Amino acid sequence: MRFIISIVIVLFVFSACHRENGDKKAKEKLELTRDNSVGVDVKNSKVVYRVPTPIEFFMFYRGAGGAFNPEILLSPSTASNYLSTKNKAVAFGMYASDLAYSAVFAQNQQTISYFEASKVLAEDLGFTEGYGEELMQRFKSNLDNVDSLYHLSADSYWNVLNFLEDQDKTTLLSYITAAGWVESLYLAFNAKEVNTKSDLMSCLADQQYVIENLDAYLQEMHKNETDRDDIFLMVRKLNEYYAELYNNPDNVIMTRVQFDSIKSLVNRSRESLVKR
Amino acid sequence: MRSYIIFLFLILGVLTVRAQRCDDKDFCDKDLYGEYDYRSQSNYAQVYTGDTVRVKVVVYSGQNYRIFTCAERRLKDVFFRVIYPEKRFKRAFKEIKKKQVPIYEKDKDGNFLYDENGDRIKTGTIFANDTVWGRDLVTSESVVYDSREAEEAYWEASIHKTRLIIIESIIPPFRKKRNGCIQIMVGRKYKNASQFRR
Repeated sequence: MRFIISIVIVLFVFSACHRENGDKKAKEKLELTRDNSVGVDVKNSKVVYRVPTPIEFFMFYRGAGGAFNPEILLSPSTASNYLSTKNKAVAFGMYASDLAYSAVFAQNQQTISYFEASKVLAEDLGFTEGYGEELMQRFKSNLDNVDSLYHLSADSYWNVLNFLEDQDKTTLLSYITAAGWVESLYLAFNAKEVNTKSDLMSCLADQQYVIENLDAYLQEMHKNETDRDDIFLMVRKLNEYYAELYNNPDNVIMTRVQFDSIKSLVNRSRESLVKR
Repeated sequence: MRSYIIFLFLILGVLTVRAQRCDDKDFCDKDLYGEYDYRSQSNYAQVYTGDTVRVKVVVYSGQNYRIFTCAERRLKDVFFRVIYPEKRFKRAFKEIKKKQVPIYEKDKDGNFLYDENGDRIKTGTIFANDTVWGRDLVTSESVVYDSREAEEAYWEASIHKTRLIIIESIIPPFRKKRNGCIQIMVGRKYKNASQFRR
């Protein structure tokens, strides 16, 4: 009996220490960041950057007059071509974007294909949430239900995001988010002709806020790697191009020259993601 | 006895893991949610009393948003503010550079004279001031919602222009340092979409 009591005491001490270490780690994280904004005292504050999911982006894109163009999607059959963990995460981000694009435009067959491609990569990457067999069955039994497929797609991506944040897998999360965002932009810039002064042009120009947040997030999370990692550098370059829009007068959203140069950079970036 | 010890190990292990998760808890009143979809930019975090968490999110034009925060009871009266950050570049004076400028010969009407090679005829040089201009980044913030003063426990808005916003959650200090989970909920609803309602 005395032995059991000793074991219980040791276990409680261990448990308390473990929690304290976790707390200390969380506290250190909080103190790492400082916001440089003017006029507000934000000492001791933690700054978190969020980026809209591909589903949120494509809902916005669709509302702005965007179109579905199956010709420009990444082939789902290439999912197994990506070998390293980093490249699998990049591919997962792109497929997650293609999945969202298909779901928002109610393309059921494509939605299933991209869910399957994402599932292969999710399993390889060890994601235990978001792309399980149960969800796959729900996808298959809701093939004719556009509404359900949309919600299942949103659920799967959201569950993966929470799983990665919870597991503190920030590098994987960063590659997925960055690659997914480049793929989303690629689809939006290339799906159809974009007229100057159209809602679609505004929608694409508005992504400057997203890239600004994404770049800040990467610099925050990967301070020592943003100058070396090709994916992080890609995001920074896109942010630099988008930052030019701040020079425009109030009545100019994005000039044709700016549109063409950003589109060209997006296309080159996407090409380098595909050919890995 | 061995199975008893294994059982204890399992219970403590589960407790330790559960203590670190925030995303599987819900501290919000169900009435707060409304018909909004929260699966995009919402955030869950473990915080300490005395902390401030600022979440920067993007709100798209043409959409309706509802934002609120909820926290574990042990964190006491957590409140939040919604802030519009403004960012613009202002033309700013940088420096004056002394620059040597050539002087060319002119006729009585002020036109340049040229030599046999077609070049202007240089008569000397003078020093001129060259002003160099640059850009300064000016940022400012304006509070558009404060849960301590608002009638509703959430911020709700119809967005006309896509922008960044900051959701600042303030966890008041307490005599004894405590930690716990907070939820920062960002819900969106599409104005012109009858499809995909949650």
